[in-house]
Parts: sequence; C-alpha cells; structure tokens
Amino acid sequence: MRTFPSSRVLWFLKRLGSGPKNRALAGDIIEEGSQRRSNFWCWQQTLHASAVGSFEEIRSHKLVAILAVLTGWASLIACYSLFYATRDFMSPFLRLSSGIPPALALTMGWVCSKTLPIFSFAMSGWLVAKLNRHSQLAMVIAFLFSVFFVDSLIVGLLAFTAISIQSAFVMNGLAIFSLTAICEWLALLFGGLMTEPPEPACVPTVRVGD
Amino acid sequence: MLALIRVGQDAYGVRIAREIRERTGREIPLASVYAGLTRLEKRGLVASRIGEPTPERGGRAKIYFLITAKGVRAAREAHFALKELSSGIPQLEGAKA
Repeated sequence: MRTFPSSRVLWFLKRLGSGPKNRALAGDIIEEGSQRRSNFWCWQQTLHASAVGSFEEIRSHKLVAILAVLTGWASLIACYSLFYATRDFMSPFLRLSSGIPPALALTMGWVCSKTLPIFSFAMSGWLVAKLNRHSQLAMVIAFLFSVFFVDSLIVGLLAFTAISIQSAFVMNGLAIFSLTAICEWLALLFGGLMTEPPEPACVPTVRVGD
Repeated sequence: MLALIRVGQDAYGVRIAREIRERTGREIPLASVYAGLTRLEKRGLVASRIGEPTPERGGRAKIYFLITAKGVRAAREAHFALKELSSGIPQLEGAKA
C-alpha cells in the first residue's frame, strides 16, 4: 500500500533542520501531502523548502556558514593527505609482497586514485553535517557551493587552456575532471545527508513574537 | 498579510497557503509562505506561537501566526496606497468593466 508522503520524502524532511519553523514546515508538507495523495507534490515542496530554507539559514548565520566551509575544506585536505601518505607508505610493501600481476596492481591503483577522493568528499560532507546538526542541510549546501565554485574555476581554466592551445589531451583531462567533480559533489551531498539529525525535545515551548 | 487577516486565529502554513490558492488561484509553495511570514515577524508585523504536536503531522507542532496591531496598520496603509494609486487609471477601470 502506498503511503503519502513516501518514506523517502519523510527521510529528507527530517534533514531540513531541527528549528521550530523547519519542523512546522515539514509537518505542513506531511499534512497537505497526505490530503493531496501526491508524492510529486511532496517532493516539489520538500526541494523548494530545502533551497529556500538553506538560503535563509546561510544568510542569517553567515559566520557559522563560513566556519562550516572552512571545516569542510580542512577535513578534505586532511583526508587527502592521509590517503596519499598511506598509499605512499604502503606501495613498497605491496610491490615486494606476493605476486600481484602488474596489470591488476595498475587497475587497483587507478580505482583507488578515483575512489579515495570521492570517499574524502563523502567524509567531509558527513563531518560538516555532524558538526552543524541543527542546520546540517544548509551548512552542507554552503560547503557544496564552495567546492562547486573552486571546481568551476578549474574547469574554466582548463577549458581556456584547451581552446588556446588546441590540445586534445587537455580536452580529455577536462572531461575526466568534470565527471569526477560531479561524482564528488554527489558524494559530498550523500555524506552530508547520512548524518542522523537530532530529535527535538518532546515538550513544545511557547513563544509569542509581539 | 491579507490572507493572515482572513484566516484569523488558527492561521498556520497550510491554511494560509490554501486561502491564497482559493482567493487568487495561485499555488504558493509552503516554504515561501514561511519565508514571507518570518520576514514580517522580524519587522514586528506578525507574531507566532507554537502549538501542540499532532500524529497526522508526524509528531510535528504547528506554528500559528497572528497579525499584530502594527501589522494591521501597515496592511491598512498599503491597501489605502494601492487604492489611491489605482484610482483614475482608465486601463484598470476598463478591465473591471
């Protein structure tokens, strides 16, 4: 039997933020979505809420957003350093030990060089979300935008170089970099969304504005 | 703000969005309703209170919004300004007829 909203929508709604307004908005989407019996409508509202909510959250907590971005980059650099140090440390032992065929060793090396950075992005996204549990989606999106900005600069530079020197090699590099960058963005978002948001206190507080 | 006045005491996200849809025929995303109301609240034109969590909303509480005296004044002034600006414009009168 189909339920409205679907469990995926509910999973995403939990990550909108744990503030009273975010929770009330999620409740409104659940209430209206169950009356309309449309998961399409629920997804539309949820994605709109995450975009608008994240923008508002970043705008009202600029310092927290800057700290989240810096934390993300620091963890990304730390992960990269750790993985490459481990690889450099392990490679002489791997070469000496057992009879791994060179082709297999080369393939394994290539797979590791592609998957480890993606894993680093997922780890960084997870860490940013974990450290900003009350506005995890907004802070992950802030970090994602900073990565997107840096990647766009690199893509722009590569594209300019490729056009200037008419190099097929740089063009191939650009295509591979773009594909890897998309995978890294998805990994970052995935890592960020994996963190369980905090459960709010059961007793509701009463607040009167004016 | 006008939708908020129309709904009255039990105005919360879903009811305000429904009121706007029924009166204007325009579908407003719930997040936009909240963003607008939050901005009005910061300016002291709207007040809010948190209600009880209910099971049909996945245990999430409603936030009820209420227009303040300052908000009523601002709405009245905006309505008056709109009426003043639109009076005597033949294109608008033609559309009305």
